[in-house]
Amino acid sequence: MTPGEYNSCVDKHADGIYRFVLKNIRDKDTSMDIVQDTFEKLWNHISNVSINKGKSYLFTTAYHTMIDYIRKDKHNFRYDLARQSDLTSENGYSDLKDILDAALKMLPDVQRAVILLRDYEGYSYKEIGDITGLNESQVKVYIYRGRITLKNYIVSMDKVL
Amino acid sequence: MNINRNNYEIYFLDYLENRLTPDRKTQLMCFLDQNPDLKEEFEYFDNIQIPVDDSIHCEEKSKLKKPDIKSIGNIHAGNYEDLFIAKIEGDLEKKNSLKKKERKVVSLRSYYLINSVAALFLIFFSIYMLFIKKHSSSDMHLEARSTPYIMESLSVNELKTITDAKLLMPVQEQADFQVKMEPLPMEHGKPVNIMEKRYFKGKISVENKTAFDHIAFRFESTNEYFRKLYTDEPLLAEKKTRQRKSAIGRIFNNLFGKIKGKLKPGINEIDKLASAKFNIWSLAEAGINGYNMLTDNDFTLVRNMDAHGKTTSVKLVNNDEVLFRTKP
Repeated sequence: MTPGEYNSCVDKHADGIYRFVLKNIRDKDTSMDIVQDTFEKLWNHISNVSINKGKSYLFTTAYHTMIDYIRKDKHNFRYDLARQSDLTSENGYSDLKDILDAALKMLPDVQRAVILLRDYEGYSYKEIGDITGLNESQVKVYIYRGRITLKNYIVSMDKVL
Repeated sequence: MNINRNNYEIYFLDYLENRLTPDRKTQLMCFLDQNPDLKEEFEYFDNIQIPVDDSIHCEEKSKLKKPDIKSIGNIHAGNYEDLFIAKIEGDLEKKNSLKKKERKVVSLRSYYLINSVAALFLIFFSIYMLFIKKHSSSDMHLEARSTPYIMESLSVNELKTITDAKLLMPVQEQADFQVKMEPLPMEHGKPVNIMEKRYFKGKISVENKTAFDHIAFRFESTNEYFRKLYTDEPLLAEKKTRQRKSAIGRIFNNLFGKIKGKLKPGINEIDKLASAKFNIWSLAEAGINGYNMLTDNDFTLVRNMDAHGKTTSVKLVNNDEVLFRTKP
C-alpha cells in the first residue's frame, strides 16, 4: 500500500471505524484515540498490507484495540453512568432509532460488536468471524441472542410508552 | 448436522435470512413441532436491524493522513526534512556540504578477497612455470610426447601367413581359425598402418569362379597394404623430424598437455581427453602444484562431481588430512 492509498483508506473508512468504536464504548475521546492507534498501526505496516485488505485490517485492529481497552480500563463504570443518564433522559425517546440506540447499549460487548459489524458494515458472518476471532457458528449465535435482547428491549419500551 | 437445542439459534437466523435449503426448512419445522417452547421463541424472534447512524463522523480525519511525498531528483521522503533545515540554515548554497551527505559507503572486502585469491594463483602458477622451464629438456619432452599408444592387433608376418592359409581352408574351418596378436603403434587415438577389417571378412571358396575373381581382388589389396607398411617411416623417427616449439610452448604443453589433447603414455589418457577443458579448476591445480614444489607439501584439491558434471563439493587434502572443504 502506498501513502496515497493509505490516505484513501482514511477517507473511506475513518468514519466507519470511528462510528463502530463509538457505538461500542460511548466515549468520543477514547474512540478517537482508538481510531488513531488503528491507523497508526496500518501506517507502520503499510508495506505489508495491500489496498484490498485495508478495510479488513482496520476493523480487525480497531476491534482488538477496543476489546483491550474495555478489558483493562474502567470503562464499565463510565458506561454505567452513561446508561443511567440515557435511561433517565428527560426528553425521552424520540423515535425507534433512539430506542434501538439505547437497546444497543444493553448488549454485552461481543454481541454489540458483531451486530454492528453486520448491520453497519454489512460484513458476512465469516468476515465477522475473521475480525473478531470467532467461528461462523459462534457469530450467528451471538447475533441471534443480541437481536433477541433488542427485541425484548423494544417490546418492554412499547409497554412503557 | 442435525438441529438440536444447542444449535437451533443458527437455524433460526438462517431461516429469517432465507439461507436454508428446502430440506433444512422441513427439518426445522419438524424440530419446532417437537419443541413447542422453542416454536414460541421462533415466532417471537424478529431480525431487527440497527440503522446506520450517518450523523457520526470522524472529525479529526485530516490528522490521520500522512504526507504523500513525491520524489523529485535526489529529494525524497527520507531526506526532505534535512533539506528543509539546510535551506533554513543556508546550507543549500554550499553544494559540497550536501554532496557529502549523499556519499555512499561501499565495502571492498569482496573485491580484495577475489583479487587476493587470483594473485595467489598467479604467483604459484608463475613459480610452477619457471620451475618447469628450468628442469625441462627437449629430449624429455619429445620422449613424453612421442611414446606411441599400444594396441593389440595382427602382426604383419602373421597377417600374411593367415591370409595365405585362410584362402586354402574350407569355409567351416575359417571361423575357428585363431590368430596371434602383437603390439602396434597408434597415433591420435587411431592405429598406424593397420589393415582395415574388411580384409578379413567374407566367405572364400577356391572352387567358385565368381568367388575366385573376388579372391584375386583380395590379394591385390593385401599386397598394397604390405608395400605401404614396409615403406613407411617408423613412428618415432617421424616424430623427431617435427619442428620444435618455443620454450613457452613446451611449458604449456607440459602443463596443459592433456587439456590440449597431446597424448601421453597410458591408455586411459584417451578417455580423459574428451572431458578435459581449461577452467578454473585446472588453474587451481597448477597453483597447488606450484605451492607443493615450493614447500615440499603434498596438497591435493579433490573435487566431487555429480552425474551431470556439476561440482558438488571441494576439499583440500594434505597427507589424508582434510584442511578445507566446502560441504560436509
